[in-house]
Amino acid sequence: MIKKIFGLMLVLFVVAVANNRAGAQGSPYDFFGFGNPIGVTNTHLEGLAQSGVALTDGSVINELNPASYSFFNRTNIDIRLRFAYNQSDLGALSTSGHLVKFSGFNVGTLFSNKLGLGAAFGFAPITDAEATTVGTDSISSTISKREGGLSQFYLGASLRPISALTIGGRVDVLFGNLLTKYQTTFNSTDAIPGVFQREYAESGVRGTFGFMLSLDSLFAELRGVTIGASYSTGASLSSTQRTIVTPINTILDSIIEVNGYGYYPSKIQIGIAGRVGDRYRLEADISGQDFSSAYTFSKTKNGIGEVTLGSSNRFSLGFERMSMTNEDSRGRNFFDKIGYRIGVSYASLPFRPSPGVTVSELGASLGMGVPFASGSNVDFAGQFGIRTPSNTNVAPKDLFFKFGVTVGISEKWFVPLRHGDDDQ
Amino acid sequence: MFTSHVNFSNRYHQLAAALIVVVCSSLLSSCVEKISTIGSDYVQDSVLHGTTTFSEATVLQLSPIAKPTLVVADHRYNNNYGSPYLFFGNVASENLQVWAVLKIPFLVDTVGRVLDDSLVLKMKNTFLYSPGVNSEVVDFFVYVETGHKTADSAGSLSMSDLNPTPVAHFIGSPSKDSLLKVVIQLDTGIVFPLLRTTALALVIVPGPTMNSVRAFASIDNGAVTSSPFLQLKIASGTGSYQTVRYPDYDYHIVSAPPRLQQGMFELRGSASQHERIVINTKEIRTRLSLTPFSTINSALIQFTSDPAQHTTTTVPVDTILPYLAYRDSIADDSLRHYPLISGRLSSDPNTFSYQIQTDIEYAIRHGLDSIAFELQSGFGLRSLNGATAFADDYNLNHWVFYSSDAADLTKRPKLVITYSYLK
Repeated sequence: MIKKIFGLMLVLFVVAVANNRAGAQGSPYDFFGFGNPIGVTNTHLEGLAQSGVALTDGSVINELNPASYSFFNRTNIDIRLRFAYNQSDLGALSTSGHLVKFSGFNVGTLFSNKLGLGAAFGFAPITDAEATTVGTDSISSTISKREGGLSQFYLGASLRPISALTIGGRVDVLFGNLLTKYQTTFNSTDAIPGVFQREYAESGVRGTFGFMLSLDSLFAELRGVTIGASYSTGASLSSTQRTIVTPINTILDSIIEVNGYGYYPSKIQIGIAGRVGDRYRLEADISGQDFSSAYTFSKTKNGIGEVTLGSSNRFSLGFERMSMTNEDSRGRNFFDKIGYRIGVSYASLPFRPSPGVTVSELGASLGMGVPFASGSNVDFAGQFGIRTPSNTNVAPKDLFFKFGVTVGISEKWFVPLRHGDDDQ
Repeated sequence: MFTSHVNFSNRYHQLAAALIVVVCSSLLSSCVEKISTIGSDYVQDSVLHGTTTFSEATVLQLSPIAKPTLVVADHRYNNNYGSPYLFFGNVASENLQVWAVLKIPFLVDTVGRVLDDSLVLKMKNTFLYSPGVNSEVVDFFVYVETGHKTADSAGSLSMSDLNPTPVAHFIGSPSKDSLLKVVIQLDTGIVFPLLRTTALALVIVPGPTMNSVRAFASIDNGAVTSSPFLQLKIASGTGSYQTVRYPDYDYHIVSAPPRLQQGMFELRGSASQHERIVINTKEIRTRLSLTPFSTINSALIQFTSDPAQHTTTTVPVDTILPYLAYRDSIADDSLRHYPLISGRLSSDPNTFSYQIQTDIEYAIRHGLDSIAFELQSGFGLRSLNGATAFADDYNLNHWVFYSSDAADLTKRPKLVITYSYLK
């Protein structure tokens, strides 16, 4: 079976790479700053409208809160793929495009039940910067194509110091390339196009800390209720600006490199989750991230935040009928075993397309998790929504649809010590 | 161990699952792609670009240059060395006079006495330069020169350099043959003694009734059968025999005094009348705020000619348009690079345009303060000492262009630069 799962993972990976072709593009808002922040990449959480800071699910490698690693009951491995389609409209103008991207891989396991010692590592994208536009004037047209985004490699661990509380920490190594290619084509046939490329290679480190508190251990009436929170520190980045000038009919290619700094802002998320019966779960989150201090490149440290960025926050609510993968699932029909998820969210986005103009996002999500082995799932989620600027005359309105797949396998690679076993 | 909840054991099911993923992915990724100007204001860095026309003397400095030599492979040659044609003739209206010179090889003492000698020339009948007149007369004298003035090649000769008595005179009209053979009896009494020296050259000087320029084939014309030669009848012990002597070298000398007019400049290749253009790239860089990494998308340098003053010969090769050669430096003897052939502007067929984008971009990229070009009336590839050179001595065409001080501002030379750079 494990060969088949890895085979499916391989197919997903190949599909992502094959489709990540030059034509990929997302929203025009991807041109701002580091691009469009990606809330989560785990499809399980995408189905819950990106909520899950307080989600205590042993089969989910929860990127929102490192304190969740203490809830692993097996070794989990997942690989993720996402598709996004975006249509933007501004007056009579319309832009549409899609992208298919590899959304990362994650590995998490529990080492000690008694200590709640869990750990995880993996790779995940943080922002998408994929957009294409064309500008025209009386003598030329310029196609600007942005590619890349910010990603992270992370390594984290969690502990359960007391039975009701888990705490976790994670080191996130941020890296990425924000690349924009330009081609200016002149109306005159005498002129060759101007071809330029500028990229900002970013790298830095931040810490992410979180906790989860099971309230039922404090108040019996609150059975199944958990609160959680996480905080990611701001990251000072090393940012290298590289400009490549490529005249088409000469050999005068040049690369100009300038070293500088960038800053990716801190983020705080707070959530509450509650169980209703054995199979139903509710999750509500709120998060905030102030991009007004963020900048992708400055020649000096402590640069000024980009004026096109501001603070952002998100409210999300998810409801789930959990999938069944344990012994209780025996004898149940296939559809009864499947987990179903639904969620809604509202966000104030960090983009400031014009002075005083903000952009909000209203979204909804549907998801399902198909169990195919004990603890293993294939999760699907669809998110759709609308981004609306406060002034639709000056900024585009986005209609988006996202589809994600996560293939997760779960197996006992380690046999966690049960409560009391550590003493033996 | 795993307990399977979904039966993946059937290979067909596995294949179907993989196919579904691939097909779904393909369907999703085949959504309509459309780009528009939405977002063009959000691009972080922008490409600045523009088109600017320069015609002022601070950017385009023009000056006439009469440069009768060219440097090839570190050797200096006169322009008229190795020409495939030997021009000769007069055009009174232009004060144009063209002589042809044939350096005759030394005739050693062991060769017997010359009884008779004839100069045999093959005239290219189709070549005719007679602007404004219809002259069919071919009239020329053959003189000898013994004063070492014709070594290798020469830029000028005068009658005082020649033996005052001509050794032959020819007058007639060419037949309609494309290659006319002219056999001229020379004065053996004058020529024979001089053949014993090393300095004898035969000089073809047009006569007073000739009002055109015509061309003989030279020894460099590419076909031995067309080359000029001296046919000798030599006395021997048993009677006489005939032999031929080809010239060691031959060339023509074109005298065309400049007829400069205010606000104009002129070109004539065979008279080495060129125009030098020095472009002040530092000024361009400053005026357009260009950095070394700016792209020059187009750099068209344009010259407008006065068609009323343009004259040409009858052969198709002379319909070639003026060309622009890049010089390694503004020095006279700098190397000439492969020439740029112009195109006529469709909007004005009398304006010639040359694309020098590569040269301007190179200058901007390498911080050169100025670069130089030379405008010439035509060019031909010539192999000199194994190296290729661009010579224009075969070209009698006369071009007159409006200069930087022309009264009509629209007809002045101009440089139209289109540039772009990433801010």
